[in-house]
Amino acid sequence: MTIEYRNPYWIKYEWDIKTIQEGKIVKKDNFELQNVLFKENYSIICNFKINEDYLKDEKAGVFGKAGQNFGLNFDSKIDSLVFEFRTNNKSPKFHCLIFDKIKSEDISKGLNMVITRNKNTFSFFIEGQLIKEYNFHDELIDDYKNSPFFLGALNPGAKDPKDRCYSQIDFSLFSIVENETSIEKLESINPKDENVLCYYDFKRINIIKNVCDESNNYNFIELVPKEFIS
Amino acid sequence: MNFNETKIKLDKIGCGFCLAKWTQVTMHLHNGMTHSCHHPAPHKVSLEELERNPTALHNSKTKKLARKEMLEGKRPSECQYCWNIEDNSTSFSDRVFKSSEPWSEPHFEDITNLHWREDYVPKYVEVSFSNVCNFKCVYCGPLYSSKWMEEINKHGGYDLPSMEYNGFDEIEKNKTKPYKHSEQNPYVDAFWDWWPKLYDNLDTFRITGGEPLLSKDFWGVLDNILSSNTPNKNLKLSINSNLGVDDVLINKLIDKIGKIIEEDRIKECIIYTSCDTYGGQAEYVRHGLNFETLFNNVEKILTKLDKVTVVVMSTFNIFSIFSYDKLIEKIYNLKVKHFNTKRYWNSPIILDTSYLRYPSFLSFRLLKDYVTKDYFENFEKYMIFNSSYRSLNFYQPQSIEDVGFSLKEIEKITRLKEYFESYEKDDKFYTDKRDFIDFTLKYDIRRNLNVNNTFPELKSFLNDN
Repeated sequence: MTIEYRNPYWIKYEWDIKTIQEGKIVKKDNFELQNVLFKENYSIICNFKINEDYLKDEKAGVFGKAGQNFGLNFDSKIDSLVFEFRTNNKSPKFHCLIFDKIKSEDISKGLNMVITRNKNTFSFFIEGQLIKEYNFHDELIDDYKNSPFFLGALNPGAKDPKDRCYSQIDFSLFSIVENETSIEKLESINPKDENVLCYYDFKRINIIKNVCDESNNYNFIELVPKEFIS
Repeated sequence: MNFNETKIKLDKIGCGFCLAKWTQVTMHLHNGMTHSCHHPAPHKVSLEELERNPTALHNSKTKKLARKEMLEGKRPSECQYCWNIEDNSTSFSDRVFKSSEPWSEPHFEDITNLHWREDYVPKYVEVSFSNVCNFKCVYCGPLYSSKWMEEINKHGGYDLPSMEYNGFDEIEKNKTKPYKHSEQNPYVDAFWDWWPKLYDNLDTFRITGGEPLLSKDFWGVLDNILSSNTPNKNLKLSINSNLGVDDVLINKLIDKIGKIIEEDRIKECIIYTSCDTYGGQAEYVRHGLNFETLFNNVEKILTKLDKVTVVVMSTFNIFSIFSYDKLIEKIYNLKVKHFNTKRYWNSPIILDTSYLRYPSFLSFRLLKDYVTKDYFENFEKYMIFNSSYRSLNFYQPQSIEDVGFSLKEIEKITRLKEYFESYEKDDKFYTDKRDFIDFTLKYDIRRNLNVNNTFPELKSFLNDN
């Protein structure tokens, strides 16, 4: 599925199928999913493609989170894939990991990426191969708490336009898995496994352009409403 | 008025008082049976009674005695279905729901001022003129299908380990043998005598069968509506059809309904059809069905009659589960394709799922421990994802973004799941399973079918004796 430029999606709500209010199924913030970044063990699986002729900002956001500088983006100024995040050590520290061997032609062919966190280590896998491990101290900043994940942007609500990082992007898979960081297991993960928090293969899209969560959960993803797009 | 208020009002007359005993009737004219709502078993109207009073099709002696009991503060035993709910739960029973309907509630005062012996013109009428039918669905029988009648005449009932299925004994014992379509039928004659008065007072008229499109009296009703100088513009017309009859009849239906609508002779028209799963598996269950023809005809109706809604009634049974997801998806695609803002109801097509209870050896509960509830969860999820998340029962769609399954359609699937989950195997389970396996062997031989080819998913179930 192609996410259009300046039309990002967000992973924010779960649909509570047992609760009906005023004739509607209630959707509510899924804070457990939104705050998964703070858990000790989890993985983010992300298969995407950004064609060279696609519309994008200088930093093309693959996925991100509201808060300061979190997410995966392709920086066309340095022609490299970048992962960035901030931690707290009395004052925030900015971590910027540059994957300079991943160029625009690689991104335009499509990339299968897995990011795992095992306590204070992020590990990065491309096509099943470990390409970087990164240790950090302290916890991620509180800005990342209780806020949605974005696909096709880093942070549409950022004050500085340079931090919004919109992109036109093709997704074929996005998934967050708790308590599993073995690449062998992640490569063949079953969407219905209990520790899969969400799983989007982008094959089931409904009439209002929501994308179905193929895990056992009801975390459908939807277009970010216009009022949240700066 | 809300349901609580209705119950209080009814209970002031009596704890068993129900307006449907007056306002609602299902008349099985093909064998002279009648009941008000579907919960009490139908009873026979004798020809003697009919001759004295043609309206005995509804105002039978049996029913009048039940009305007397209700007016005297008693509970007729034939309505035990509702007393079970009222005595064992805090839920409202159908006594309250049906008495709250727009075809019941406004007539409360009139009915309570009537003497129990007086005749009453019903407002919600369902009628079957004949059992003539070109299908013989697995869960039907000779009472409602002439094709089944032919088979039983030729081969007898199905002699199963614990019972005889669809034999003639019950029919002969209860004297419920249908008149042939070609025979003079005094019940149908009585109906037509009563029709002028009935028609003027109707809220809802639903025609079932047999297959109505094969009944001359069905066409008589449509022609009557078309030729009336004073059409009942409040009439809600509902037509059951397997939509598996000849093209000539389908086109005739579309032409006549189209004209009735164009001339503003009714309030609404809804067409009910049936399908219990998808493709070849659906054809196995509803013998005579061609799945592609059915849905071609559904589409023809939805295209040419752009106000009409088609309701697909599904009798969910042991054969339904394996490809029900495909049926759900097909219904959704038709909701999207045929969406407009002119329909009488809020969707061009609706899936109405109920689970089969009789015969018990065809119940999907026999699959307990053979399949998991994953099937039902997948059905639910698909429908919720494609629901637009609101109760379309109360919302008229404004745009294509409103298209989706209503909460009611989803709730019916949830009921299947809950029934399946809560079911615990008992002795009847094993009896029914033996009957089922034996039945499929005999069914396949009689009808030249092969359950193993059609349902490879059932292979180990069928081999497990």
